[in-house]
Amino acid sequence: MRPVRHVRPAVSLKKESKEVDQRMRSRLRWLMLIVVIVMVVLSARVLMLKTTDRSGYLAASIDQRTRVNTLRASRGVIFDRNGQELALSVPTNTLWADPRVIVDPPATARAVAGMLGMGPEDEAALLERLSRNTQKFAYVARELPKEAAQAVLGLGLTGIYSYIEPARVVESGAAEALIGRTDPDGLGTSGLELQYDKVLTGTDGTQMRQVDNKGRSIAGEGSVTKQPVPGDDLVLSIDKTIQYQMDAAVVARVERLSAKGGTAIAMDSRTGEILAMSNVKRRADGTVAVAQGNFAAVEAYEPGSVAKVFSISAAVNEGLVDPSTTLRVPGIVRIDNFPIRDAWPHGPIDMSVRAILSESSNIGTMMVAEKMEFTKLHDYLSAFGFGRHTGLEYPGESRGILKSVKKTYGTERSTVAYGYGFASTALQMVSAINVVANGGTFVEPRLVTATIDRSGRRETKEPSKTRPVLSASTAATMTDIMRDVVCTGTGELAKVKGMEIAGKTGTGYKVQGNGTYATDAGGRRYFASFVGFFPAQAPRVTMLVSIDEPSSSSIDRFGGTAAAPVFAQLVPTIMNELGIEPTGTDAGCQGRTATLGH
Amino acid sequence: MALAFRLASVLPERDSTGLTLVPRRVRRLPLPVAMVAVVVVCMFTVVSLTTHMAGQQLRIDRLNSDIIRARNNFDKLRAERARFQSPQYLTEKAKAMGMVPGTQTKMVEVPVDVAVLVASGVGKVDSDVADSKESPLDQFGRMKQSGGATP
Repeated sequence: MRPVRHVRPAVSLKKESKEVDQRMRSRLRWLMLIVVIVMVVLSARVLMLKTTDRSGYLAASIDQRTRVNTLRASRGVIFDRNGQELALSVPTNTLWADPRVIVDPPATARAVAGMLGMGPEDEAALLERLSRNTQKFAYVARELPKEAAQAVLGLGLTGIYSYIEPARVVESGAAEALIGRTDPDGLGTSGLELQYDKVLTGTDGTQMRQVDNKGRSIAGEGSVTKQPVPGDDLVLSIDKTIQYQMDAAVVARVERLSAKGGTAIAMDSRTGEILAMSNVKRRADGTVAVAQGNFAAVEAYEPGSVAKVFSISAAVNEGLVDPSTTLRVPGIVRIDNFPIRDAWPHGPIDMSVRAILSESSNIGTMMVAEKMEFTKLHDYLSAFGFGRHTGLEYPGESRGILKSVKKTYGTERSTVAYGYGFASTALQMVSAINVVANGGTFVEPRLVTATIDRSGRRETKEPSKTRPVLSASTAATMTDIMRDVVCTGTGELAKVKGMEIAGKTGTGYKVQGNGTYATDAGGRRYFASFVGFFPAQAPRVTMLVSIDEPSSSSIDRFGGTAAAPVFAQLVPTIMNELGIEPTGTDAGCQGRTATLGH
Repeated sequence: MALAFRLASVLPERDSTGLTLVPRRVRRLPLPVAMVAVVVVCMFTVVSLTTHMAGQQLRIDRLNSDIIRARNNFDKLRAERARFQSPQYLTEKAKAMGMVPGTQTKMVEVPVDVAVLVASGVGKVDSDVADSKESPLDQFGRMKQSGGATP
């Protein structure tokens, strides 16, 4: 039997399908409405994200995927006058840590400290830094040699990384006191590094790189946003070889004389360029070494007999005396009941001005100086550079002590003439004597002669400022007298065969803690100096050597015996380095006779 | 007749089988498809360009790293050279070889004829050496100028 097929009537089919249609349409409309609402909400949200909330999300996005590296700019090199490096930056390795990822800070600190040979305090400080787990950067050790850094990295410790960082090196310690130091971030903290910090320091650059969610760089996405600009280089007037020889000679002398320290300065007589400046100290442990500080520009002392050059120069320049002027010089003079004696006992004797200087008579010098008003002498001392800065502008440079006329009383007005009652630095002293060497003109000392910029262009500094102090004929007269000091006077140990030298010795007493020139035990402490220039007839170099507190029981405690031999030792080195021709085969003292018989 | 022809041209041909010859459809790319194709081609072009640029950037990054490494090496070598040239190093080496510093200096006058004899015996000095007037500082300046100082 065939199934019955129910066939709806056509009319009801049509009505039903219409209802279905309507229901479908209604549902579609509702669906459309919901979709539209959702789209509107989404669109509004997108609009908000793109407008009002944009900056915050953009910043967060950039922060999340970019890292900014600082590209350290190279610090300028410091050269000597011959283009040899004195100070330069060398790449070293710096270890750093990300404390957030370090699982076991004590073990990590112990491993690193053991590898680097750190002491207990350093290890404890390292552990403290590694334990700050909210920070993402902590130094482990800075400026390490490559091998040490690689040894630590080879341990495979989590969270320990390294990067290249420049470290400042002063080659061979030459002129270290002059050049000064930098801090670990490469900024000058003393000496020339500080004085010329702006010149030497470059401008760091930046490099932005894209990183993934694990902090790894996305290859090819790095871009340098700002190139680093390197610092300019400095060219000094220092000669590295002369500096080395000077350091060695002063160290040896201080050791030999059991002295407290020593200073030496060599200067170009015409330009004021400092060829070498040596500072030597005896340390607390008794060893003698080149000092870290530039005491030659900082420490002031009473110059003693060297100052007689200035008093007598002033009198000669004023026309009050000439070398042959003779004075009756007593063996002792009292001023305000204060006895003033010469270094050797004598009765009243006739002494020429030449003899007064070459034999270093305190009383004779005082008598010469008394021929002019004290204000005039004071003016000359100021013109020679005492009581004022030299113009070198070295950080911490002292202006010494030269009291005003009004504040100089009693015996001081007399003792100033032969070097007591005012104080000068070694730098001031050599610059003052250089007036005689330079034909009567004071020239400011200088250390920096040129700079080299990033494009390799060398810019020479302006010449030093000068000022007239003495006439040329006075300078020539004083040179001739100072030749006698070396040939027949107190400075005979400064003689050098093959070079004519003019100079002056100085042996000053040092003021003690009790305010007198005598120790509590009644002894003395000395400051022995020799300052001179060569070749005498056409000076090229002026040099000062000072020995601080040579052994007071030694015969070598005087300027002529402690300091003059060092001068003589250095002259041939300087002649060789600067190509100064000998003036003959001997010291050129023929025809010069001793001015006094003692 | 004309009508018949026209009609003949308008009306489809009928053959005896009842099949109708349908005019061949001209294949034409619809506009949306064409636009999509253009967009896809552009996207591929952009992707390949970006890939090429990334490759170039990788090469530049490698070159930059090489330059930085070379500069670091230069600085290290320069420091080493300065050490070898330093008077302190030369003194130590001289001492190790058994030399001692001289304690005295003697100036000896050389007769003119002896000086002339020695100069003539030495022979002609190489012009590169004799004419070389460039100081180490000038050489350094030239190097800085040509190499640049920026990484």
